[in-house]
Amino acid sequence: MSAHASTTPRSGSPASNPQGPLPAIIQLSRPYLTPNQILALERQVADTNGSRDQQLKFQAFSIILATGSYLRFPIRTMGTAMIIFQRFYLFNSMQDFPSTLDTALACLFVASKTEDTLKKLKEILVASYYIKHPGGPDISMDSPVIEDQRRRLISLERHVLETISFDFRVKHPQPYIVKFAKRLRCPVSMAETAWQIALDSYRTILPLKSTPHAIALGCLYIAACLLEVDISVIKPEQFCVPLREFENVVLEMLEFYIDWLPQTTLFARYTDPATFMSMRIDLNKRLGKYIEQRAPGTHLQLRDYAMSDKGTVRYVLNWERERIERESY
Amino acid sequence: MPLDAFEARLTFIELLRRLNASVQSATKCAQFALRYQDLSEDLYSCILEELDKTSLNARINILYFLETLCENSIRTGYEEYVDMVTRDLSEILDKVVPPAQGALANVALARKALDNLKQKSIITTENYESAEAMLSEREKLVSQEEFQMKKELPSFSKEEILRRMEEDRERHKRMRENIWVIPPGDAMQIEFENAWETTSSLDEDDYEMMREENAILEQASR
Repeated sequence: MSAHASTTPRSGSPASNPQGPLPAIIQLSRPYLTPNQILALERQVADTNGSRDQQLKFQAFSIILATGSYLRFPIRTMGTAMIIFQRFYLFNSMQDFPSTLDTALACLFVASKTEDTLKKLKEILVASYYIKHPGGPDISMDSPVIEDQRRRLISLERHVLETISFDFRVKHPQPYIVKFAKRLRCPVSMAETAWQIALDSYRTILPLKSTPHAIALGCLYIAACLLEVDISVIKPEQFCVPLREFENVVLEMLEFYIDWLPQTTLFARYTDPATFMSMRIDLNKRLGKYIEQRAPGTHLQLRDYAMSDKGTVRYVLNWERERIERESY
Repeated sequence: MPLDAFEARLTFIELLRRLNASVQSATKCAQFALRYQDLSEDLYSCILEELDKTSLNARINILYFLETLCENSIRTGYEEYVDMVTRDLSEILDKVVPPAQGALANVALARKALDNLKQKSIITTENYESAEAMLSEREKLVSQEEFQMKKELPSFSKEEILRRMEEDRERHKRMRENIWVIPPGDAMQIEFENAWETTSSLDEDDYEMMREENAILEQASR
């Protein structure tokens, strides 16, 4: 979601519109981004240290998962937080927002609101304190340390909300994993493994590029391969997943496991990246020579976080809504 | 900062008396009890004593505090308080819902607190069942005519009634806020099993949603 700011001022001067000045800037929410858009955004961040940044992101994910687990959040809350976190650092540079820990907690706070698993910000901060200092001195919600952190995070929250264009529609693969698994009549162990793989999928950029049902099907496919269940029954089109998208999801998950296996939930059971390499080879053999190019999409830029200081910004979920509302003036 | 037993008891009793329905007051109390865990016997006896002495409203607050105490104990790995509460469960409930006038007001909340203890795996199903049985018996007793509130002898002052209403509202609010909480145990396991049981089968509505989502994805390439 976010950052296509159009700066064309709307017609109608303040004087002629009795309701006051119309917003100068409109920001359209973008639930999904194309691979090109993501690449272009990543290139716009000057002076990146790729592997260090990736490590910082993984650390942030660990914090989100540990804090969420301490507070007994359902997985969708942590998942949403991780998705929002990745989106944040696509549109904002780490130079401008260096504390990935603060950002992680701010994202978790926003996620707890959008996923209806509300926790006070101070409770989240106290929880993260206990995780950082296990067995440490007691801390209460009124302590100045917490109060300080809270103030920082409230202002950070605004940046997070603007980055996601106040679009709280996040869908998750988990319900689809269960629905598809039952339709396929596959063993519970396969569904359970797919569930674990879905958890790992939040560590990739996939949720910003693919639909949740595509990711769910991809997770089931990989689970089937691992457990040596017959995969020929999985026909993506039957589950509303275009073949190319399905293949992209699986290939990207396999790449992720090959590169980062020790950081994943599967590492407890599968310690050899070669398992996933051979899966990739098999899949590549089955792909046709035709490689569809996905349209690059509009060029997107890093967020100008001073934008809302310059003029009113209006966040729009989609142009349909915008048109309908405009017609009613 | 070591305290002697006498000082500790005084401080703890003070904290117990300041208990209300808020999470903060309960947490402060629990943290104190855990910090001075080598005095656990003394501090625990204060709880039982206070349960005898204070008003019916305050007894409910103490009961809910015990839930916080047990949760925090488990989290920090000090099981003594949990053992003591489990051992004395019936005695505690006997004090919270005594065979006295007005005790009926505490029955529902006591039952809820008992449920919470079971839900959070603080007590076993066995403990729960015997405590529940005792509670039901007591409920029958105090529902009788002679234990009802008499107009000529008010047990609760107006102030107490208002405070109790506030605290009940606070507890209700907290209960609703915690509906989504994953119970203790392997969270992933619990969530998966729950999803496996409760998720509806793939149907036309799902296909509709998936097609919509595909359309939104398609927009990105424009």
